[in-house]
Amino acid sequence: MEHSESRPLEQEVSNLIVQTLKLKIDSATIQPEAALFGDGLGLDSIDALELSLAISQTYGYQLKSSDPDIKAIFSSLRALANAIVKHRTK
Amino acid sequence: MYDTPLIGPYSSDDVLAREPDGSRTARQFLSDVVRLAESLPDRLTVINLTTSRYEFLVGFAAAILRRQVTLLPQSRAVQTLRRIAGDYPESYALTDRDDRVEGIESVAIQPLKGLAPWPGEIPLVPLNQVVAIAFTSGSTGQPMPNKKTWGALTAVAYATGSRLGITGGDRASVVATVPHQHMFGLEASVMLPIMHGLVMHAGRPLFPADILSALADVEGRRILVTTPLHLRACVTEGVRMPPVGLILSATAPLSQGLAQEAERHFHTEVHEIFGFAEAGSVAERRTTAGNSWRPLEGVRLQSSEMGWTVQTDYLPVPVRVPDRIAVDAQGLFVLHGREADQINVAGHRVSLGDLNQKLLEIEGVQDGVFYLPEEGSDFVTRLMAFVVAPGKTSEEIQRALRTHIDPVFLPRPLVCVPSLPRNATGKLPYESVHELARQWLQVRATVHERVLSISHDHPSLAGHFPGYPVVPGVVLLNEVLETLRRGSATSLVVKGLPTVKFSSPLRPGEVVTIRVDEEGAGQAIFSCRVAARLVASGTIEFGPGAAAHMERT
Repeated sequence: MEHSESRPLEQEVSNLIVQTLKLKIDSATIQPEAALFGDGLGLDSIDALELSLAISQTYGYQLKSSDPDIKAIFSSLRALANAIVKHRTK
Repeated sequence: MYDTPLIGPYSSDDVLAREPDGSRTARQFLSDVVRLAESLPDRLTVINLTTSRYEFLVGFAAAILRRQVTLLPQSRAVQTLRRIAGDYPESYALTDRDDRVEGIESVAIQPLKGLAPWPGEIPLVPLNQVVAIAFTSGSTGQPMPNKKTWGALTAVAYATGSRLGITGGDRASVVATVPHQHMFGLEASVMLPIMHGLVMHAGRPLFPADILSALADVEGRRILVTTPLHLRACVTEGVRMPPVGLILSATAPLSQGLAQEAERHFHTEVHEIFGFAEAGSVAERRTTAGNSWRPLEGVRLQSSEMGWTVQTDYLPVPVRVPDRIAVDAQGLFVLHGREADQINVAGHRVSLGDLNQKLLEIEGVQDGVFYLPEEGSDFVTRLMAFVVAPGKTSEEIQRALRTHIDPVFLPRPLVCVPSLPRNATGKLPYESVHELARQWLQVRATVHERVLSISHDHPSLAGHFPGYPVVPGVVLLNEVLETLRRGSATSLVVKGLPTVKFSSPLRPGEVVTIRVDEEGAGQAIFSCRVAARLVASGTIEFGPGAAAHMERT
């Protein structure tokens, strides 16, 4: 797999998702490739907003809907962790 | 009843809307409306689902010219749309180009091109024409229709504008984070700008960085129509915004603290609108100036045997205020909380009875109840639900619910329980559900952890596998259950392991950390890890010993 540098971050981001959104699941059960929104974890736009704040505060990366690949970034835990690796400022 | 113009004081070349690819002048708008009106199917009602606020407006106006009523569903859940289309069989959906609603006749809005000459006269609309129907959730599970006349929408637009000092030809620009299919969004981000000759930004920014770029896209005085949620995000993020002339917030109560922070952050006044789908916007306040709401011009509050009602010239009958209010001698009022059955999650009002009804309609659900915990944080407080559904997992019920209710109301968490604390008459008192939730929230933090390793000479390892010893899953699961048994205060019986996933092999001698989170009500989740590597995870159902305290006797 490419972007293997993001693997250690996946668990960290997974914890961030579970804590921020108060999900009743073990962060270990979020599948790296599974959908976060819609049919996957079932997150919605309010979650996206909450999550974006947590990501901005933790990693200094501000998400933007106009990013051409915003849908891809939010498509899975792995994609999100990859994007954070690429854009993080802290 | 006389007729009034479709749009307010615009000249032909005045910008009416701002799309990502450029401006739309008033002339372009009228030309787009007339063209679309000609191509709409011959039906009575339309569900307008277009994403662009401008295209929504074009569709809305075209429908008005064709005397079609725009239906405003509470959510985009397919089930909701189908139910409404079932109730209004003369409906079609007006959608984006690459979007269709399965099971409903869908018409995609076409790329608009060409420019008709500026008409001698702006089209007129009769004040008593019903132009929209907003749906609210009734306690019976059926959506309740609320008819909106052109007169009602224009009256609210003028009353709001005059209260906020927005004058004709102000040329301010409106940027909105709220959906235009929502009653407040329709009033404040569609009707308010077009009645006052303002510029409407077609987008719907979500993240603070989006709000920043939408505000930067427009010129002149900026009006931001938004919600406490977005304001909290902007203030927390600390993004520096272009100057904003006015902020209008609605859909959920704004706290004094957040209102003050937002006024500092945006260097402007934050005003709030109080309203509900049945009546539309009815009152306004500048949050930092006090708690009292001032009714909009033309809105009268009357006390009646059914509680306080709103009366106006444009509502055919008095409408009951769904919140408990106290009105003072000057006619100002303060809110004293909601009526028991009515709740609001992120600006979506819903009847708990309605949600409970939908939960009970799910196959395999014998009993169930939704509960809204006390609000505690700055962000949205989500619902929780307690469900009796033997043989079903909470994930299965959650998946079924998703097609029936607005995702914003999906319970977090959905807890499966052996029974609900119904009283002798079969009623489920609010206090009992409250107590159930309190106990559940209290016990969920119980975590048991054990660190161990399976030695190389464990009997199970013989032949499993030659030259590549792996600890069998059943041995590990036994240790997981042992962790739960040892940690639990009372004896318990394991009923099953509804979900178990083995992610990587555990080798003898490896140190594994087993963690079991007791969730209460006979459920636990577990994970087994070697350092950060996940070996196994899943859920456990147990009872009745440890879960006995959850049941009422």
